[in-house]
Amino acid sequence: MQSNRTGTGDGVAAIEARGLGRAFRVGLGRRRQHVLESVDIAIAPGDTLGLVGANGSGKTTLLRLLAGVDRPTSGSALVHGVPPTDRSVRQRLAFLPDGSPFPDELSAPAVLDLVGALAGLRRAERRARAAGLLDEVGLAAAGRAPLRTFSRGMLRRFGLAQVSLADPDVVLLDEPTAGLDAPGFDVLARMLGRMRERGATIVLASHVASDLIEHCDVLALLDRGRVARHGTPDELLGAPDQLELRVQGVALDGAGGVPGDVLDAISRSGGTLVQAGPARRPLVDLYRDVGSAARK
Amino acid sequence: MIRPLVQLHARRIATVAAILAVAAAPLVASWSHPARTRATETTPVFAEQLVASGGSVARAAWIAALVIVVPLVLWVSGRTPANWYREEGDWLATSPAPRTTVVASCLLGLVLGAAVLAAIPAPIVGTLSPATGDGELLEPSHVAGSARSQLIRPGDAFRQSFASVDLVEGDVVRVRVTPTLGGQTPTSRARITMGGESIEAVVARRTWLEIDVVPGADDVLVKNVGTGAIAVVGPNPVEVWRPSRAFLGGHLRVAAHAVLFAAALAALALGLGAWMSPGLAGALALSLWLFARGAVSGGPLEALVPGCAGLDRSLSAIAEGRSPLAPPIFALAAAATLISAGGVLARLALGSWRRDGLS
Repeated sequence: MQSNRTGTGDGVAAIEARGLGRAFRVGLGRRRQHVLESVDIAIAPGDTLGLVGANGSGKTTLLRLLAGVDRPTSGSALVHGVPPTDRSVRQRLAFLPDGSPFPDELSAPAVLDLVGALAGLRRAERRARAAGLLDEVGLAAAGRAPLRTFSRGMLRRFGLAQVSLADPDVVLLDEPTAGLDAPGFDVLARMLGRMRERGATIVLASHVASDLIEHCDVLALLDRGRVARHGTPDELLGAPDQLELRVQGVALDGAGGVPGDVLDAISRSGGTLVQAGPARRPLVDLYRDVGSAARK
Repeated sequence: MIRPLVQLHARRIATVAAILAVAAAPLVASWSHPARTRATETTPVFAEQLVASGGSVARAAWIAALVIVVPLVLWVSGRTPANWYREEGDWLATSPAPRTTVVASCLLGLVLGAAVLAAIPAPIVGTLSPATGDGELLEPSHVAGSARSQLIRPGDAFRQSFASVDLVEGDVVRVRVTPTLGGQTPTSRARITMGGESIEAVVARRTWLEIDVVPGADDVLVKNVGTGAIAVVGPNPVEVWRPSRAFLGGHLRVAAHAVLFAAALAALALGLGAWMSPGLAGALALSLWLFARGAVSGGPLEALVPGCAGLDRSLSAIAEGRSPLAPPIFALAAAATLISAGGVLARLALGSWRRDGLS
C-alpha cells in the first residue's frame, strides 16, 4: 500500500482514496480481475493531480470511483471528507467521462440545459451559462446540431463546457485532451486556469503525460491498478544533470550548426550540448495566423 | 421532476419516426381491410353488414396501431436502465439530483411518450371511420342479468326487470342470445318485448336482440317463439345503451384505455429493465401482461388490468359503431399503481450506476 499525499496540512483533503480497490468478475468461471488495488491518494484543496499511465492501468476506474459513479470493492473514496455519492458533494463535483455518454440526439445547448437542470440551476441561469460556455469553447456556431454530428474534438470541447456549467470546486477530467486540436488545447488551458484561479481541485487523467504536465501540481503514475510513482512533475520527470534552454536572438548558423560562442559558453560551464534545433512556435499560433488571414 | 429529463425520455419513445409509423398503421389497416368488399356480397341484411364493416375497420385500425406501439414502448422503456448502466450513469450519477427524482423523471417521460403514441390513432381513426353510420351514437349505460347463461326452450321466456334503473327515451335495450341444443330445429325465432312494443328475429347465430326503450316500461321480455332452443348468454346478457355525445365518435375513450395500457407497459418494462437485459425485460413484461389477462379474465379484477377487459370492450363497442365508456376511476387508480410499481422496481435496482460485473 502506498501513501501519496499532496500536502493537505491539518485540513481535510479535497479528495482522498484509502485502500481503494475495484475488481470485476470476468469469463465463464467468473474470475476476479483486479483493475485497481489498494490505492491511497490525498489531494489538497486547490491542487491539480495528473493521473498518468498506460491504457488499462486503471485511470478511468479510479476517476469513476472518485466521482461516485462506480462502487469500490475495497477501501473508500472521500471528497471533502464524505463519500462522493453524498448529495452535498455532488453539488460541488463535476466529472468529464471518457467518450461521449451524453444523449447524442440532443444539441449541445439542450444537453447543457439538461445537465444544468440536474445540477439544480434555474432555467434562465443555465441558458445564459450554456450560451456563454459554448461560445468560450468555440461551439457557438454548432447551434442546434445534435451531438452525434460532432467530431471527437468538438465533443471534448463540449465536455469542458459541461464540467464548467455549475462552477464546481472538484473537477475530474478523464482524457480531456483526446481528439483536441491545437486551439482546443488552448481552450483547455484557459478553462483549467480559470478553475484553478477559483480554487478548484482538479484531477486530470491521460495516457499521454506530456498533455498534462504543465497543468499539474502533482503526478501519479498508475501501473496495473497501483500507484507506481507519485510526486511533482519535476520530481518524477526532472533530469537533475540536464538543463533545457530556450534562447531568443540567436539562430543556427548557415551550416545548421550552433554558433561557436554559444558552444564555448556551454563548454566553459562544464556541460555538453546534447541536442539543438530551431525553436518552433506553438501550433495554436499558426492556427491563429491562418484564422486572422482568412478574416482579412 | 427534472423537466429536460422528462422531455428527453418522452421524445425517445415518441420519435418522429414512431409517430409517423403509428399514424400510418390505421391508414394502412383502413385502406386494406377486406370487410368493405365482403359487405357488398351480403344481400338480405345489406345495410347492417355495411355498418358493421365500418366498425370493424375502425377496430382493425386501432389494433394495427397498438401492434406498433406495444413493442416500441417495451423496447425503449426496457432499454432505458441499460443506458444508465452503460454510459448515461456517468453524468446522472454525478448530478446532485436524488436518484428517486431521476428515476421518476425518466419514468414520467416514458409514460408521457407512450401515452402520446397510444393516443395518436384516435383522431385518425375517428376521422376515417365515424363510429356510427345509422343514426345516433350510443354508449353503454347499464348492464344486467345473471352471470350464467340461461336456456329458453320453445314457448319459454326470459324477463329482466329495470325497476331500479332510470330508463329514458332514446335508450336502447339489447339481450345477447344464441341458438343451442334442446329444440327440434338448430335455429329458432325470438320475440323481444318492452312496454307493448315487440320485435321478432331469427336466432341463427350468436346475436343481439335489440329494442328501443318505451317510456314507462320497467322490464324487457325475450320469448322463444320458434321450434329450436336458444340461450341468453351470460354474464351480463342485458345491456342498456344511451345516446352519447362522446367526442370523435368515442375514439378518444378508446385512446384513454390504450394510453393506460401503453403507460403501464412502459413502467413495467422500465422496472424490469433495471434488473435484466432490455430484450428480456420487454418479453417478461409482455408475458406478465398475457398471464394477468388470462388469470383475471371473467373475474372481478379484470377491469383493473390495463389492456384487458376495458380495452377489449372499448374495441368491441367501436366495432359495433358505438362509443365505449371512458376508463372508470378505479381503472385509472390501478394503472397509476402499476406505473408507480414500475418506478419503485427501477429505483430499487439502482444501487450503483454502473453494471460492469462488480466482484
